[in-house]
Amino acid sequence: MDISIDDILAELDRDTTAVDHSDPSSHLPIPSDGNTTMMNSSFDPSRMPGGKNRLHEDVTPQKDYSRLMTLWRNERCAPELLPYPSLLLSRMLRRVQEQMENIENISMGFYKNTISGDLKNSGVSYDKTNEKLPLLYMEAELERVKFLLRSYLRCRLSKIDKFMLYLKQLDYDETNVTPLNELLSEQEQVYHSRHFAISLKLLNSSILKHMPPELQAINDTEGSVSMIDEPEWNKFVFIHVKEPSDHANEDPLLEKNEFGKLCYTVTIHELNEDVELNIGGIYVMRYGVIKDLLRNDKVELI
Amino acid sequence: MGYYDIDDVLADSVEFPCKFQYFLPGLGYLEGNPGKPIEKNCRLDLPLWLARILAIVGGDEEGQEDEEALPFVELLRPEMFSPKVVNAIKAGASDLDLHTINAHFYSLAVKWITLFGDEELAGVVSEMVLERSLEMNGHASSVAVQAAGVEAQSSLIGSPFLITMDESEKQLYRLAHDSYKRTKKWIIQT
Repeated sequence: MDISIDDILAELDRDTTAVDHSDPSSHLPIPSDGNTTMMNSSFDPSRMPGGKNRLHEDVTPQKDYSRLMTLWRNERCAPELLPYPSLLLSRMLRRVQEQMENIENISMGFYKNTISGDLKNSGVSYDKTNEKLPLLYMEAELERVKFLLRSYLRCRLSKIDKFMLYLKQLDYDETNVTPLNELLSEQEQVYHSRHFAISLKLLNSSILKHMPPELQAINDTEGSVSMIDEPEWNKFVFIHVKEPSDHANEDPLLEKNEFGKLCYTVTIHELNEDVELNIGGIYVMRYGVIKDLLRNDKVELI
Repeated sequence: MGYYDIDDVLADSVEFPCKFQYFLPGLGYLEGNPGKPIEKNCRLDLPLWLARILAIVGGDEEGQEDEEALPFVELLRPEMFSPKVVNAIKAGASDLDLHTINAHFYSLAVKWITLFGDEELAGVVSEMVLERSLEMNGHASSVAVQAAGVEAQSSLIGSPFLITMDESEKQLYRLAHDSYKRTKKWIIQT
């Protein structure tokens, strides 16, 4: 019962924020058509698949942003390369593009002074500072989003560099669970293969060609030291156990412990020890132990 | 401990005392006199990357199958894991001059423990890590940042503890000190 009410409240909340969002924008000196196209374009993809998939029901720019924030934090803290959120990133990139055009249009409007003229006609009090402030906000916000995207992608690139051979090996491995094209975006795949080719060429022409043939492989795992750097699965990470999302009682992993609190139970294999991760708690835990929980979005790294 | 890890490469070149268990012709250059053979029971210092593999691989020249293949060399317990050092660690790990015992003490200890499954040493070393980490945190957290922006020199110059740290501890200390320093700087500036 409770949960269903929360759902309804959440729906209501979202509706009001959407209204709030559009309300001040009508007062602002923004060309109304530009604003509505932006709103529409951000809501459109959410509406269309919304019927089939519950996850897609709540696709809004705000949610996408906070989702990207979480992904960015996870990526920065996790020892391995996490799968590439292609849908989310394509949405974000499109929005950045659109917002850039939007800002461009508005600032063009300043030069022509057409909007202010329109506003004067429509009777809204015209103020120069009032006009600049939203533009400043929009530019600053755009920069924030762009910084996040850049930092995220750069972090991924540095991991691709680090695990170049490991990813290459994953590519050859047929039994592998996540194929490389799910793990990497198209551009990252191109980067990976080209960078691999370039560094292989460098190593080959400078050193490896002088070696005996059996020592020329750069991905030799038979020798005394494995040449393929795997991600450090046992790295300790700080995790925050998230509140379960709305369909909490469907989650089979969630249990009640003796204090009546909800928790996930994970097992550390090496010590043969069970650990209860309470909801809302912060733990320092081996990455390998919580990897599945992280993939299923039950915990986040901090 | 990756393949391209420079500290790992350096740690692997530390020499360990070994005893040869075979008569090996032609390998005299390990002893410094090329052309001559290596006698059985000859004691030699070998770098770890060589000693480790020779201590595992069995040199079964005579082709006897019944006998469990005796490895080429026997690794002798090096000075830095001798009872004397272990007792010194137990007595007071934070006062120990680890850097003079060996600059790569921890990574070598890890390698040694993986080779021999030495549980006692593992216990001693992990106790030592904890004890010395406390000390390190104390040193790392005492940051002297004067006014906004003006950075003081790294505090505690000549602090005796800092020159006793081994290489991995130095890295850890630098990281910890840096993050304390940056946090403090950020707090002061904003």
